[in-house]
Amino acid sequence: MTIEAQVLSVEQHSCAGTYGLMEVEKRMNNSVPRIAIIGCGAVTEHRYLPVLAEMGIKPTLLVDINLQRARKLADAFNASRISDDYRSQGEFDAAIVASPHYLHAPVGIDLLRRGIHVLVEKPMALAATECDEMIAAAEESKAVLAVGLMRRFIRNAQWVNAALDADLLGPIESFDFREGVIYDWPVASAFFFHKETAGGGVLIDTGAHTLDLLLWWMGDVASFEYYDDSYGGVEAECELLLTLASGATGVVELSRTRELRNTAILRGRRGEIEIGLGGKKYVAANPKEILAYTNGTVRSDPQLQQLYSELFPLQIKDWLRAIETRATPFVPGTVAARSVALIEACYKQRRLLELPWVRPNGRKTQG
Amino acid sequence: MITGKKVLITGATGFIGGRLVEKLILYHDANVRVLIRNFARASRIARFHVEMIGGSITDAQAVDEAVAGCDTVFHCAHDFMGKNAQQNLDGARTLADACLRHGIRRFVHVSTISVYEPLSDGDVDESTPPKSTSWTYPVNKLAIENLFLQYWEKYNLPVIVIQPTIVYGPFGGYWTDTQVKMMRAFRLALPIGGLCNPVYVDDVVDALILAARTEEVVGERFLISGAKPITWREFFGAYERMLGINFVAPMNTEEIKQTEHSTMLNNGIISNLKLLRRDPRLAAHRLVRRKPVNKLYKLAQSLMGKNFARPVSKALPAPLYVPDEQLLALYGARASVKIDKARRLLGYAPAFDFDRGMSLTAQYVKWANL
Repeated sequence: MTIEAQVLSVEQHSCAGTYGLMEVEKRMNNSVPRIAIIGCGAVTEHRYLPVLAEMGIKPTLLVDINLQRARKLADAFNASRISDDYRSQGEFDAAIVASPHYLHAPVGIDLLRRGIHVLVEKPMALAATECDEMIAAAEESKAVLAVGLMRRFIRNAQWVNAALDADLLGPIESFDFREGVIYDWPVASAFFFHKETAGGGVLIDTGAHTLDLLLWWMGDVASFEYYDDSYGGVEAECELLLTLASGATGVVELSRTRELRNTAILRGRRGEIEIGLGGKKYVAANPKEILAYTNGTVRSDPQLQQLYSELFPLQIKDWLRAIETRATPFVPGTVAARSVALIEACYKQRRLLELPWVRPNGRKTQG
Repeated sequence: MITGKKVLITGATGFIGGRLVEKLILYHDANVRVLIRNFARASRIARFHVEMIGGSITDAQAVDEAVAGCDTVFHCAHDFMGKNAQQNLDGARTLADACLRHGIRRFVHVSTISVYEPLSDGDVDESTPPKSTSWTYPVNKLAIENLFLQYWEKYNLPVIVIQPTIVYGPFGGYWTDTQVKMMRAFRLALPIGGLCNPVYVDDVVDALILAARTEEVVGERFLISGAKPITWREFFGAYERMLGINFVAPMNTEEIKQTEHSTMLNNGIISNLKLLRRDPRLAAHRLVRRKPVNKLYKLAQSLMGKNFARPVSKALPAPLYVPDEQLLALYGARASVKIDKARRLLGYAPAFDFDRGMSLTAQYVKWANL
């Protein structure tokens, strides 16, 4: 499917304008699957539950090891039942897996093998082999596996992809991705900051999105160097120096402790594009005429800001559409597995990113 | 000794507590546990293998869980919101009770030089009597350190109180991050001749660790500062050079007192006229903030974009920031903090002179895009 057709498909089936509330409600009564949400952390509280409520969908089951929290959210969002074990309550057809990262794969594989459709939060898994198992399980049971890389629903990101496909920049020679904010996501537990449960820090969290876009736009990585500032915990800063299979070279810098430029710059032989990352409203091109490029419904819009709260509904509707029509979701497991593999390789080859004030006297032990 | 020992840090997501986590693990192989009120702020310390317990210091159950099994407790937490002063005091009591229950070996409390505010000219040491003031921060911090010392006197809780001076450095709270942001937006009305007692954050953290390791000393307060005072003009001058910005507007204290407080907010005609006479460019800056003028300004901005905004914003000087009463007293005092007691009893010796501390701070400021 071409990007234009894909986007059209997503928009036709997913956007509120064409898939209005009455329509959603009508379908819900008939064919919207019974949905469980596994994991009642911040993303469930602040994104999935409000979005489902907005869509008029009542989750069948909320699962969390912390039953008190599950109860609190169930009461607030009118969910039917709660449990501390998703296996104990089998009455659902589809599940949003928003558990700690290390559980994405085992829970996802188990559900998919039972034919339950899965929308798994990013990162899809901690290792490429786990992704393979999830994909295989979905193929075998014919369940739908979608991954929560909702930045692919950003229209300007789709436009960048289309512009590159149309070769507007010529061969890409270099790129520069910088994404960093002082972290303030209202995490509900410490899982996010432990290597064992989160799998890593800013690379596997923010980087799951950033690297997914990079791979989507520019293709596979040939070689890389990776640096981060972990001293046994999860990194807050990382830097990735990449050479792509196409020969393009560039850098990806990510941070949880400082504000970075929050854009990606893609430089081709005939021009360059700069686009906002992490929710920043920005798209620019040199020469400016590049911005005028359209391909069907795909066009650039420098004034467009799609907040995450707007992207989650698109993602959920796309997943429901895929379940209903047995089509491939916009972000299937095969797509998300690529960035997981790169992240895994980075961690295996990591080198220490040591900032000058951390050990100003060198590494000697004091006293 | 602290190597291999379980230590608890409150306020570990803050400036001093965060650096304490780093140094305890990197240089002392301590087994660090932290009590965290807001996990979202844990990114910096999560780079290390630390045990995190969720809860505030007023949560008796969380505090008890956090203190259990610890050799040493470092109390760095403090909520700077004035309305939470009672909470700070209640939390201190909760923590002290838990430490007594669990028989911890050493309790190190991070207080502040502010307990001696308003500072007088001349030497300041631990024998300087606190003054009567209504300023919330010094009152609250003094009450907390008195509470802990009472726990030593009455119940033998092995307390040491550390009173750092003007702490600056990477991730540096008020005296680095906040000042840099202030400098980009304001000019500072600074009294001429006042003395600053700066200390690089690593020196403070080393003092905390020395306090934890000592067996001989307990129930004492220690002022911790750099080797010698400098002027506030020199302190801010280092930032000015770092940023290439003119921040300080030297004035005498009387002149500052006569200047309206917060010129940002007072838009009265009389004050505008006075300001126009004193500083026409500042008056223009204020004018642009008035609604009708601001609308025109924004319209021109939208029509002409950066071509308009750049020269206009360049021509307008940063507004003057007039320190409040407490800051003005601090900036105006010619106080010289003595660290002889810490040198003698803790073996404290500041390792960072101002130039070296500021050199590292400058690297941080650039890196952090402040």
